[in-house]
Amino acid sequence: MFKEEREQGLFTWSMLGDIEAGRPNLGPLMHLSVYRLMQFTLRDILIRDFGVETADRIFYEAGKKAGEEFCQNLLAEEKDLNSFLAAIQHHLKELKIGIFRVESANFEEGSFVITVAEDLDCSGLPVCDEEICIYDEGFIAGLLQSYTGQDFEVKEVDCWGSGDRICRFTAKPKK
Amino acid sequence: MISVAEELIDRITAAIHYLRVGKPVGPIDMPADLPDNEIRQLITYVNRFLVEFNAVSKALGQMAVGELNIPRVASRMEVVQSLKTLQSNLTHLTWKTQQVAAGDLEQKVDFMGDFSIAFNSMTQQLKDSREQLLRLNEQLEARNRFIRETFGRYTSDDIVEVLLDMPEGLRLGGEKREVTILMSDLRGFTSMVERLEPTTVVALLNHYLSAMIEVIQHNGGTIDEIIGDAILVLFGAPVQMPDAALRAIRAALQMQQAMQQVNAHNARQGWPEISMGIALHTGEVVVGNLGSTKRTKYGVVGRTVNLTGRIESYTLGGQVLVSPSLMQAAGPGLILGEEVKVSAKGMPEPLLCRELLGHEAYPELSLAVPESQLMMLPIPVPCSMIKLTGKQLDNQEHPATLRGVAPGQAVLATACPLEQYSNIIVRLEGGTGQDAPELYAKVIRFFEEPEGCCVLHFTSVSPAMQVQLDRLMGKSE
Repeated sequence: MFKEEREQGLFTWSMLGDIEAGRPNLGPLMHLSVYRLMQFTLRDILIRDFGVETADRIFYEAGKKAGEEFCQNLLAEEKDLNSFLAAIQHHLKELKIGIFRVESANFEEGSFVITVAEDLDCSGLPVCDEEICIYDEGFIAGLLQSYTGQDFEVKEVDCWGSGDRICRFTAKPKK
Repeated sequence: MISVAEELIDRITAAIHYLRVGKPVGPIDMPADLPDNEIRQLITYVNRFLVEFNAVSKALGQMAVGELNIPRVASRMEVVQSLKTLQSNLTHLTWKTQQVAAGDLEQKVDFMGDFSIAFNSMTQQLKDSREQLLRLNEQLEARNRFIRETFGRYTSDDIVEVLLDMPEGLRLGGEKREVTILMSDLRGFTSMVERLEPTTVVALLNHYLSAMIEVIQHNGGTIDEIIGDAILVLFGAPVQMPDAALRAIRAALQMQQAMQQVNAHNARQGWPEISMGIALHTGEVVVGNLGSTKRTKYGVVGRTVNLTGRIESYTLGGQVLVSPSLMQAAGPGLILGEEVKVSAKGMPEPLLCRELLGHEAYPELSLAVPESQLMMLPIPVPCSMIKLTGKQLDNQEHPATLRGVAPGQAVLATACPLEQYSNIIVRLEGGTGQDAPELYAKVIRFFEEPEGCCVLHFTSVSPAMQVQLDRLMGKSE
């Protein structure tokens, strides 16, 4: 299930398991540093073994898969785009992923400028002149693709890592 | 020790001073031969700061006037981060507001302190107001639907529009209101129905009613009830009308005038001639929705309604009778004819009504005064007479004679005492059932000489009787 060889992704939402049953005392929450510990140690080894570009691609695609699954499992009932965006805002806040905000949305062209404040991945990191929320890029692309059926190109243009206070993403349909 | 030219210190001091007092400051000129030392480094840093400060200052100025789409400021200064966060928040709020403006009231703003509370409270209130507005709109639509269903068939479109525009004017729960009531009825129609085919009765009645309804609606009357050939019309309810009495008068005169066209049509169709009596009375009634939850209609109740019916029962075909209160409400200008005393239960004195012949304001609507030239018969024609009490026959035939005839009228002599405005049946010998030569009539006046003679006004004449009357009139000519 988790470790079998695969040509195509085999992830399913059920792989997250029954957290309530599994953690009756500790509950579903853990400290953010643990998440970052896993992400940045993983990134460290991926870069060491496969290089930055491959590591970024892996993070982007993993994020995209997560976004698709997130949309299908938590946002499937949203009918119109405004409700969809409002639901993302709500869920990202409730799950303490970040404060999701839309700066602009051109519904006709399908282009968006989105910010995530207090982002799970980067807020509070030491400034390093790098946009590092690659997983988030993929996550947003996965959300939008799952909802619209269209492949999106999402790019982080501002990041805590590059010296900003919020993460800003541009999203537009891939040509 | 580093030696520093005083002028350089002055330039740095001046730059900082100008910053403090709000004057524009450009980069400090640095001599080309300045050695690469701490002073050069200081001026380089100060110049970098000035460039970034100027960029921030310009961006803030643009944001202050609402320009949010400003170029990115390349700086790691904390003030720049705050500026960018502010810019991001304002851009986000602009988008949120645009969505609210487009009708999406589900928008919420998080983590912006008092602004979030104010914004979310605003959208919630807008949402509540919209829902309330929708509820009110539904109520209004239901009310309008009710008004259209209740009044649409019985009153003119403009009156319905007035009702729809009255937020509080229409109190359907019931209220006392002074109205003018018009009540009309065809004379002798009940006996006519017995002689006609049902399809003819319906066709004749519908044609007559269509003509009358058009006149009534044209004058702003609300038809409260149509029972067979009788019409009950309100003026002054549900919409109050200061000129209700005058409207009713105009309607009554026009209705009588319209009967000429109705009868011309009847003649073309081979249907009998019909005549209508109208009563007008002004008084207080209770108006409101009457009925049960299953069937409700706007209607009136009260003594005024009953009295109007009573006055109407005294009318002759082609006649309009008006009550004293109507005459008072209508004011000057009435052209009145004969006085008619109307007695009713509970009234110690008879009501002194008058025949309405016209109104000075509407000379074209003057009702022609019947000038029947009663032709006395050289030989009285024997007949029998039956008195009608209400709609009941007394089943007793009294001997009588016809002494004179005229179109719609006759002179009758009988030993049986009759009252003015009482209804009778006159029968000639020969024929039975539908072929019986008989007529229904109202006693309108008595002759002093010879005693026992009275003038009858016909309310219904059977075909066999009409043949006899025509023959008698032909003889008398």
